[in-house]
Amino acid sequence: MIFAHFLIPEVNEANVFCVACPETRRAMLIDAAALDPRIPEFLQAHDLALEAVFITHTHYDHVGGLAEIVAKYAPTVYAGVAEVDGVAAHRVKHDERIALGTLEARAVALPGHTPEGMGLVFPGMAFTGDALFAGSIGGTTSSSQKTTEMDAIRNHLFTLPDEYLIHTGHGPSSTIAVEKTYNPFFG
Amino acid sequence: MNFDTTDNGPDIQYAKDNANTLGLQPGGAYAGRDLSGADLAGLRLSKADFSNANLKGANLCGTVLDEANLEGAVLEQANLELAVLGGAKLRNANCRQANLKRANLVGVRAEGADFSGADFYYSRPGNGIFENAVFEGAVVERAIFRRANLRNADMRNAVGTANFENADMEGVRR
Repeated sequence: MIFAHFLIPEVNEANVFCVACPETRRAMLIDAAALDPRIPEFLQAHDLALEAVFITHTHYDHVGGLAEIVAKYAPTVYAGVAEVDGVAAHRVKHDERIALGTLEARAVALPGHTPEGMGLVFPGMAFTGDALFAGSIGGTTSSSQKTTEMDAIRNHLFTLPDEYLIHTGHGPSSTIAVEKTYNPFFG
Repeated sequence: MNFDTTDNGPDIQYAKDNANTLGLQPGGAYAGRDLSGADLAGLRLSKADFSNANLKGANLCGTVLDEANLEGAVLEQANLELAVLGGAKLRNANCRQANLKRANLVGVRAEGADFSGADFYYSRPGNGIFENAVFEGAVVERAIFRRANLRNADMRNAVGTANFENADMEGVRR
């Protein structure tokens, strides 16, 4: 799998990720904080066609560049809602499969930080948006939302193999084992 | 894995699993090895043994070193930005002036480690054990030390506003 991580410090330290199928050269972005100039350069340099954008949740620091990306590449947009920032999206359901060339990902519901929060699991790695961070969890505004978020993390992420990498909406990546063992909210 | 070292490339890029010129592997035994100045950016080296290794000035940007053994290692001036060090052992490591910006330090064991002048901007050292560690002159802006053990740590001249929620600060020198 081709993988790249673009840190966007000026948009609340948000992360944008690119994954691509090495055989078909089809690419997907996970989140769209901004159309950083490095993204089109990376796609072009690696002969990749941007086929999809997966939105983990609809906060501004994850979708601010979506309209520009859609205008430039016309990818399919996947999200937990049918419209994101004025852009039509395919509303994904928990456990729905998404093909990217020869790769297959699985969407997982991660509500709590936002009601529509979704994660995406590829073989060996998961994208967690703002639900789970290295050493933290996404902010919530009530105890019931926090319980919802922690239950989703336990049921849909901590059931993945320990060695899976997790790539988060902000900050560094981690592994399932590290978060299960040491995250102060769980360990 | 390959890493794009061009200034305009991604912050981390993996293109191929663990293809690296030095042949380092997850779980490998590299105790005492001289890797000063080596470019190990973006590699997956989980649970590898780098105890007492010399990694001075090494490029470990985005390197995955979860549960690695770095006890007594020299990481002075190493670039560990965005590195994954969760659960790693860093006892008595020399991390002076290391770049630890945005690093995952969750649950590390870093008793007696020397982080003088290191940059912890936006890093995640929650639940880490830093007893008797030295942070003199370190930058801790936006670092999250939630529930970390900082007993008797030396934080004199450390600069920046960090999150110390539920951290054990007994005996910290400030």
